[in-house]
Amino acid sequence: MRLSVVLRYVGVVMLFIALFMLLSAVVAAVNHYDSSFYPLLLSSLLTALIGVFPMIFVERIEQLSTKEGYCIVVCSWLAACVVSMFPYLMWGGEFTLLNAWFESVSSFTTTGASILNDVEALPRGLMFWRMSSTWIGGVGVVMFALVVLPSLGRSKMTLTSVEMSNLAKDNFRYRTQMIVQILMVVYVGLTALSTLLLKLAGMTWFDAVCQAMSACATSGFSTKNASIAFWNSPLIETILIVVMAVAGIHFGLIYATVTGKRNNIFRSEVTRNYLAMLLVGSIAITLSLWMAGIYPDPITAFRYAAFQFTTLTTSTGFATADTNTWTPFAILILIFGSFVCACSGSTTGGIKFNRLVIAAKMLRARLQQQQHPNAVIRIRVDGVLQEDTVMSAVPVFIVAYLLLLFAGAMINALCGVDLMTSFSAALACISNVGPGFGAVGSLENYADLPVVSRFVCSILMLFGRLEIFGLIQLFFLKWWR
Amino acid sequence: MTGLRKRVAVGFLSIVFLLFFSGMISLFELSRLSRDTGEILEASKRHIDRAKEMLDAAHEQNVALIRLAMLGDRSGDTLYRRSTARLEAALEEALVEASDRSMLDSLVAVVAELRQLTDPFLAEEEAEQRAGGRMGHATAASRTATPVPTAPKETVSIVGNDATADSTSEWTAQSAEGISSAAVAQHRALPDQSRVAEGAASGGGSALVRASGSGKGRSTTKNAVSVAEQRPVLSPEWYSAEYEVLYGRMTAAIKSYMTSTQSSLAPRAEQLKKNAYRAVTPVLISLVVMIAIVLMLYYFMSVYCVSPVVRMNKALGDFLVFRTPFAPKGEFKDEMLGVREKIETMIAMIRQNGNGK
Repeated sequence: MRLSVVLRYVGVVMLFIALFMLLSAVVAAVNHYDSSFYPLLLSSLLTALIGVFPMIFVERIEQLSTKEGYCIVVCSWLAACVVSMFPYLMWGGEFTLLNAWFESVSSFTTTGASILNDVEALPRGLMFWRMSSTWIGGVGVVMFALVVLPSLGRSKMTLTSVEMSNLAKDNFRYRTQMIVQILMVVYVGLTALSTLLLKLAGMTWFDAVCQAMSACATSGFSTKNASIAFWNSPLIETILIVVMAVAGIHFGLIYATVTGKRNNIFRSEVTRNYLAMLLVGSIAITLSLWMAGIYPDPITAFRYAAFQFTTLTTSTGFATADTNTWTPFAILILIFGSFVCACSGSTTGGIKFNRLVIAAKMLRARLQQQQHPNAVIRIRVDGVLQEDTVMSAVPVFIVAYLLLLFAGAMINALCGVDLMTSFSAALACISNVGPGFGAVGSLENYADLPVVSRFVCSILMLFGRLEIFGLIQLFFLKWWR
Repeated sequence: MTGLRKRVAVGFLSIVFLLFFSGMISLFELSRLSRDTGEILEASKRHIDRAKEMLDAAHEQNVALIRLAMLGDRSGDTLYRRSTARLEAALEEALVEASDRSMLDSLVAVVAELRQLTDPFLAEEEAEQRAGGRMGHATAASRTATPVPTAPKETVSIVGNDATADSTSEWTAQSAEGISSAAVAQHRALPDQSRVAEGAASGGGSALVRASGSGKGRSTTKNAVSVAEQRPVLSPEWYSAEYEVLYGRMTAAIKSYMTSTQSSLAPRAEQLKKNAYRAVTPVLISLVVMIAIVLMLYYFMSVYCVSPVVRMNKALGDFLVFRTPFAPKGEFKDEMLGVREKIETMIAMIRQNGNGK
């Protein structure tokens, strides 16, 4: 493995991040040179220097091995999380070293969990950096690196096999550059459209841009302490429900739908089931809340139920209500949504709905196999025959996911955190959802968790974003031949 | 970029730039910190000086009124006016500079009350001074600061809380500091033709009583009694019952102002702490980045400079000793690549020459 080549590609990513830091510094400058201007400017310079340095020594390389690809992805994520801390640390406030790390990881993994007690105390420049780092994380640091790379071919394919799950790639066979193009058009287009709609719904331009970035990245960071509940606007909530639901669909399918191709969201079994799950889950929660008298009428109950279920299922994490006060049935449905989350090929986290579909079909196939031992039963998803490697990976992934979840919950509990908070915090972080229940509820934050818990949660976020094995492989590079 | 020398030079220049950069940040932030610290210290000093000025003025006022009330010393009037002016000037400065005027409310209120209490006395004093020429020596004699003889029996006390017209008094000359706390033995009341009882309307009927030992008291005009009925009476009782209370409140208000301004500096000191943090953190981060870059530079120089030399050396040695082919592994760039190619060419030429022979 050529470490120098890995460093060069990571450097390219750093340059991209430095560009967004500079953009945030411009926002700070426009806002009368607020207190975040110098931190952002200095951070931009330092990050650019880190990015440029490897490029002095290493020329452009097009051929990359799989091992190098993995290292680039993981190291890019880790490096991005580290340099993203710089503006927070330089600004100060509530950002201690651990808090800055937590917030940074939460941004780039699009988790949306925050340690800030007062989000609105942040200067505009820093707020914009917080949102733009989630936006970058949404599409994946590596994907942007692919955009700026001058060549096509094997290098990109190697990289994308890590960044996008196998399910996404197997469902939709495009050339890698096409994937990048889809991401840019769909992602940027969706962000722009969301911004416009939110502005028309009554937000300021700044809030609209930030909330749109957060929604499309399925991050959940908000510019207000009360999150979306601040606006108390059914129109805004409806817009965000639609945006979040769309952001949870495979981007390739969205692109195909927009461009009028045959393989669109209406023909996708996974997408149909996903949207049906959103609807059914929302209705179930609505009935539970209305019958328990938490909301006076079904319309109001549906308004909050639909928003909260959509936001958690898409791993976004916005809030319009305090879900801690909801019925246990409603909370369990929300937990289920946090487990499964949305479709592969989107910016969502969790197990992914595709894996749930495959697992369900594997279960059915298993039952059929028991009834017909000599039968050869194949599993198809969206008409595509699933390979054995994909099918065998699904239960392994789910098991690893659950093991990490319980390990994280146990460590939290060991630190003195209550059961609901321990479990939901671990789940929210490994699924990159953000808010959990208990002390980390929808209108709470992670500031009150012990230091060890917060660190563990940040590691769980990285595991979730890199689909677990992407991070684990880093510790077994030596044996990788 | 080609050329090892260029790469290494740029690498080192990056490190130098970072060092310079972190130094500049440090300088900028520390100078800002120093400026903020200076401002806080200056503000603190100004507040304390102003509070001291107010306390001195209040004390001077007190002395003046003691002279007037206890000793009948008319020079106390000038002193009183001067001290009042000092106090009000200092208060005005404090109001202008205060970010939160509410901490001066009590002081402003008590100064206003004091003015209300003493203004009638001062107004009458002015009128008396204007009429001072008409009253002649007798009036002037009545205003001497020296101890006066026993008041004649015909003196009239206008307002007496517990003042007695026929009480004899012997003024004892006491130090100004002692008067305020010492018991005053007696007072005397003197008729004063020029007084207007404006003070009767203030303070619930308290009045100033003047004492005069002059025989001219006999020659009061027809209006003297009515005028005397209205004029305020300056007496030790008035001092202890009316003025001393206000004086206590005023000094308490001044002290409260002094401590509250110091408290108000606490947020600025907190901000100073944040500035110190902001001064140090960028430098620390720059140093961390510099360490990372130094490590990268070490790695790249090792990979592109040191390692190729070591491998070529080993390959040459193996060639010379064991006649193994010269084929050093690893990445060769720029001049190193050139050296390797030249050595390979040289070896090929040697072999050719050897075969040719």
